[in-house]
Amino acid sequence: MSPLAEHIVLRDLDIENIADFDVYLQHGGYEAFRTAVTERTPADIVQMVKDSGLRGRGGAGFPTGVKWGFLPKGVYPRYLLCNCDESEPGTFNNHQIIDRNPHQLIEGIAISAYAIEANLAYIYIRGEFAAAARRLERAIAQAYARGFLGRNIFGKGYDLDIYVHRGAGAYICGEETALMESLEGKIGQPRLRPPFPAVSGLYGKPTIINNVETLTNVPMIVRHGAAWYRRFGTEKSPGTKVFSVSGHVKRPGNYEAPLGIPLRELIFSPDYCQGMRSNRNVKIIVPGGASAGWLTADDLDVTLDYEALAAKGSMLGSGGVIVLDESVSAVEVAYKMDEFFKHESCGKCTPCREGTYFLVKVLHRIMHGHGRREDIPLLHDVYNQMAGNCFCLLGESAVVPIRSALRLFPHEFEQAIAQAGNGHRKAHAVSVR
Amino acid sequence: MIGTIFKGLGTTLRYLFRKPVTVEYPEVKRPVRERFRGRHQLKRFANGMERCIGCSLCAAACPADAILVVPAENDPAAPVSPGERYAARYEINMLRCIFCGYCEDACPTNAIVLEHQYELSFYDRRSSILTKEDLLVPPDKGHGEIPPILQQLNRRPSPPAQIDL
Amino acid sequence: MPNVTLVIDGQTVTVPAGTNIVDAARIAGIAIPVFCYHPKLKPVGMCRMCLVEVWTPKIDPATRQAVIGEDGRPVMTLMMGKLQPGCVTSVSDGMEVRTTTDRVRFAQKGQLEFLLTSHPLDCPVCDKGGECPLQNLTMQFGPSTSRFDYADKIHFEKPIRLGDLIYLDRERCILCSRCVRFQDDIAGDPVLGFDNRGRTWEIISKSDPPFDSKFSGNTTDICPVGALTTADFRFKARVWELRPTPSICPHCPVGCNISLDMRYDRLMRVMPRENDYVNEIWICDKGRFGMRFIESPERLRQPLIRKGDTLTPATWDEAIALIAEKLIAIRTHAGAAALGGLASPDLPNEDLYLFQKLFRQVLRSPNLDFCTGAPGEPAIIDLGATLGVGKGTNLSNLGAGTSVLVVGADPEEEAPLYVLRLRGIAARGGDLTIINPYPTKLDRTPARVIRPRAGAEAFVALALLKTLIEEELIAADFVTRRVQGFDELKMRLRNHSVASLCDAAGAPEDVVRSAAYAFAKADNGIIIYGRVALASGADLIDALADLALLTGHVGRPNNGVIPLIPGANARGALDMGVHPGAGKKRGLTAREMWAAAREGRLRGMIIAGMDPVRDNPAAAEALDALEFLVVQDIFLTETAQHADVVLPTASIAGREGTLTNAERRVQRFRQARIPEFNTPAGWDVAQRIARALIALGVKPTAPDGQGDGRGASRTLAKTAATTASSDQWDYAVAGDVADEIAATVHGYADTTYESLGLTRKPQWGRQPNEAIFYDGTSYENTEGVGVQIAAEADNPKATFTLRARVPPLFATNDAYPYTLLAAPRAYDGRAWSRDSKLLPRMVTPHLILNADDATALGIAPGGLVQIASEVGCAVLPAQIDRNLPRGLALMPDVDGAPLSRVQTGPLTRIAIMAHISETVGTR
Repeated sequence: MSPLAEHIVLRDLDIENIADFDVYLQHGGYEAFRTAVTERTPADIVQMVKDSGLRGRGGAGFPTGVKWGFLPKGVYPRYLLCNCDESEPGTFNNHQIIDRNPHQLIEGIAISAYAIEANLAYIYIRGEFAAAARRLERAIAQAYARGFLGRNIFGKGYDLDIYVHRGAGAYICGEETALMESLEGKIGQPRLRPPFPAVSGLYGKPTIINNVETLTNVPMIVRHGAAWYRRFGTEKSPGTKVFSVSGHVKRPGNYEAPLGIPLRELIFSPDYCQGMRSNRNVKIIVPGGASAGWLTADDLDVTLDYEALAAKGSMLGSGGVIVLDESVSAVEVAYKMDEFFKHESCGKCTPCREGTYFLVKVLHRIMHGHGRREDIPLLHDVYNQMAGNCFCLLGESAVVPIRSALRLFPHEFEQAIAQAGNGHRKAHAVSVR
Repeated sequence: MIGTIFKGLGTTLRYLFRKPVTVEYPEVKRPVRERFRGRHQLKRFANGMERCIGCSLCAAACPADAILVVPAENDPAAPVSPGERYAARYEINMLRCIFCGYCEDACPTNAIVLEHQYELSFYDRRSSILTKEDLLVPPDKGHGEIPPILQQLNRRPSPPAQIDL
Repeated sequence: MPNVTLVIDGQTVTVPAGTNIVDAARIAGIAIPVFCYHPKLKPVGMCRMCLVEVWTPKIDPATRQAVIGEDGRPVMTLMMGKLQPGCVTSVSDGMEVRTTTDRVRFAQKGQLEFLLTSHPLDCPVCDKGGECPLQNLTMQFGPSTSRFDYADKIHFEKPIRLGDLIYLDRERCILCSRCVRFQDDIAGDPVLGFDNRGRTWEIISKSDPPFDSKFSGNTTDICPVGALTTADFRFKARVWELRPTPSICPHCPVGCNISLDMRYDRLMRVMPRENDYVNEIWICDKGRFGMRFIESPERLRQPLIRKGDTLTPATWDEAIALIAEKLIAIRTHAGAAALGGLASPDLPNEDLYLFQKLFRQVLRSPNLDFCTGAPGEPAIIDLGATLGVGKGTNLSNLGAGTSVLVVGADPEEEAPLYVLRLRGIAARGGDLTIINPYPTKLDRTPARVIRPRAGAEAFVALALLKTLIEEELIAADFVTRRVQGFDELKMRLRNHSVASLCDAAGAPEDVVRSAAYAFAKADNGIIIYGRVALASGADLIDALADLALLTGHVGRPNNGVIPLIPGANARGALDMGVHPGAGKKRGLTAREMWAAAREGRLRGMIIAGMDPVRDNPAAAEALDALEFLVVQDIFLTETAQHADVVLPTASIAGREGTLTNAERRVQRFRQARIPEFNTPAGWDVAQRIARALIALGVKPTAPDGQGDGRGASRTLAKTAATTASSDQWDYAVAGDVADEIAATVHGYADTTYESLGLTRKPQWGRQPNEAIFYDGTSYENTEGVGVQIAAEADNPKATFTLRARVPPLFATNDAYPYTLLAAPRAYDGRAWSRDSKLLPRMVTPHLILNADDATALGIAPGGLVQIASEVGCAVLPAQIDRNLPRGLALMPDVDGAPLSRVQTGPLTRIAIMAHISETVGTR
């Protein structure tokens, strides 16, 4: 598969200075929004997005148009939230979109807000993205100045306000209901579902929440039509995806590629990552951020789309592809990832709060040569006690690295424990906080 | 018949030259077995702190209802025992006690121990009630360290459910 | 709601739709373990302890029909392919729940292992040990050993104070958020919150002063571990050593069921006792922490007799003999009318009954009252006996379809539990209207708030009446059958419009109209009025009575009026006849007694359990003018210091008796300990005096029969107590008095101790296995939920006359431009607060002013103000309230407040100025 002739999301690669308002305008910017507001009904847009087969790029891959259709009829106000709390380890594409191509996101938000009949949209941006938030605010101010946002847009009586809200950098606030809690000024913790956000979301009102990348796709779909969009990608996963490749590859970075691209091509093609650094062998590939199941060198021929990865017991997730070579220890990778989940657990439900802590404590001692023989069954028990029992997906995600590691590299754990004085050595006193 | 008589006399004769089993009490005191259950003692840790944390589990276990514990809160500046709680009053009514040792079993800190003292007689009923002062061992007779986990923490430690000796 | 049938562990259960699985299982007697779920709180599904297998019939997406398997039964699928939390999963038809499978057991064991990884396991020192759900569930469902290193546990400093009453041990906390949710949802004091996240997530107090709530103690009850403990019970005893004694809280008209937990004869703690009709499972902090007075070293131990200027200890025989002799002497030379009696409305029915019997039948004096006669004390106008809530009322069942008017009351201060009850009604969809001249905490509940000018509340009630008449919202059928004077009422209101009445009250017309509409249209209507309404006077109360009558909201369960009359047993005092209008001959009111004493018409008095001298110099003067004064109390009060004989009595812990609450529920409390210092109960004191009098030749009269109530307000007349009672004074136990009350007092026929002890199993009783929810929460009610006596309106033949009339406006006075109102305070710093942990929270005397008024007067918060009325002046610190209406000044009615020095009546016109201290300016 050859690389894209024209980018849909990362248009900054094609057009220099597209972040500049005038440059964006020259290249057909806000045309789709104008067409939508002046010529189409909201229902048309929803149908168009439905037809395009666009699926949520935030991780779950739920068809966007279908989600928009869940809004209860006649209940207003409605809200549109743009989830830019990009905090999945290994994912960094939203940042580039906002940094280099903010107007396409704003246009996408505007069209989507029009489509779901919302007059208020919030961009919830991660606290650490201070510069990006400023950039967005500047871009929004420009759009207001030109009358693309605000009251009576294009003289059609449609009002839209977009606000940028900076979070405080909690991973859990990328979870849609926790994001809403945080936006409402409460402690960032997931809410009970049902009711789902489309029925009762922000301030108890119908709310649609989409990822930055999803919304950035919308202007191009409206501009070129659903059929054009379906030319990219596969039957069930149409369109392109920005893969954030990191790890031991020669050229890490964001690559926009059609969905369904083979993993091998993404890593080894000269158009993308150009192979492994120092030509070492691939050991672990995490295809969709830290919460995705691990793949190994045997799985290099899998295609990167929602279905194929799900069949491998993994997921496309947010498109953060982490490629690790044979120099790393699986125990350490599992430890690092679970340490992350432990740190980010909100504490609301027992299995996640206590389970991640438990896992990290056990992995820590194995890693430092104090593992015990009974630790491997213990790890199996602990993650099984968590799996399926947590309040939200964070806890479930924390299960993935350790389960993958134990499934794919059990001998590394056994080895680590065997080296620890045949497993008879007692754990040293772990410092107590 | 005769043989039987001689057999009996023989036995008598044999015992005549054995060491007598009678103990000349009270001049001579008979040693007791290690696990003998006599008068109680309240133990201390080596640093002089009381082991008793005033949990009343001994009183709850006591089948004769012989024990009274009135707990109180430790002064963090001058704690009597590790943790927040200590026994402000601790009394055992020795007339009621049946020396079953359940209190010893129930004690989570091994504070109450039935020791080997068995000379328990009283001139009146009131003096049969041993108070905490009577039961506590002297401060220099403590043994056993406070478990390291409790020692190393610079805080008001709480004893775990069972402290190992 | 339609019912849903499902199968739980093989048992078929039918429950209302919308029930969650845990509750459905409770009904089937199956206990699903829970931590964060509590039947009184909204489920959140956080602790993951209630995970169960939920199987639902597989639905064919094409036909929307259940798929039938080869065996002819529906194919079942595991919901979402994993375990579901039972507390947040609603039941549905055909559902099958399995709670004991290996998968469920594994999950339960797992959650407990997780919870225990952070738990310090310090059960031996923990106050919750023995009644701890975490202990119990670990025993039942948990792992036997820990696989988590003790050294790996996270430790926190312990304990920290959440407030001055509640300690938090963060190590023990399992973060179920029950306490936070209780404060947010039930108490309406959102003072608790969370800080940090993950393993360091912790509870914090957000208010200043910390944990500022009158219901904070309840959080320690519902805490499923020992994380929250009260300062009052910390390390006092182990719970299994306690002897819980059923009792009734003696602090306010709610009559919460409590348990006095005794160890030997010492009070260890006070716990709520479940009674859905009264307090559900809650009590307020005043009830929980305000019982230490019973063990105060200041308690009176023996009778005291005045010898010159000092009161010297005496024996009971001496004291009683002296009393009998003196009383007879006064009666002989000045007549029976020269004797008077005041009894506290906090005393139990038995005491009050014998007290009035002593006066009416032995001494033959009608001078009885339960008021203090302070100048600002409002007249007690009672609607409870006539239009009180119908028999069978249960506020905890009310919700949608109920409309409640709260008029001139601050429930949080007068009867705190009503805040929870009213919030509950509002939360369940009920409609709430608050009519009060100043803001109260109840305003935070979703409700309609009408803020009339102080003293003009009657106009709001009249505007409501006028709206009913105008918009034809009258319950016509009821009015024709049972109400008289409707046409006359219409005539009286003829010249007034809703707008003009609202204008006179200073209330918005549209809100008043919507309130009238909501109240008239509601299935159930309840009117609650309190201290401010009493201060407003008879015009308001009459209008409220008419409001209830015209809408037909009387004489049925869950309909009627609840008067919050100050005192825990004011209802009982009225029913027993301890008021001047109860008998045939009208007696003197307390205020008249003070005048009579000063003029020498009243020579001798017995004052029981009351301290009228406190903060009222006029009463002291009157008492000093008496020839002979007997005071019966548990403390040497200011009044007692004026006495010639002081008699000690037993506290509520040292005797048994009954109290009648604001909803006319007669409830029994048991004796918790041998009486302190062998003091007798109040009824026994009256009996001893009566016997001594009879022994000296006094002949008791026959009872004076049903009073005709001439001169008394109509409501008081109807409650007259004594019909026929024996002249025998041979009561051995309180139950004998109760039997006589049941035989003689109107309405009390069913209130013998036997019937009070019934728990009414068919309507009452916990579900099986409730311990899992209520472990350590509250005591199950095994000693009776009390008996609600019928109101007059419950009799379908009783008819009533409408009396509302338009009063003149409360006169303004330019010299005294402000209106002073006494505001009730729960934490008033009076006798009950002795030795209580609540002492730091006692309100000190101050004046509350509107912010603009204060600015205009140049008064800073905390600065001293001088207030003056026609009768006197006082200096006290000011407190500024932005939300108080202009022109109104509130003085909390607390210990030491100089109310009696300035008040001319319940509403007083005053002038306010900044007080310039004498030291300022000289140096």
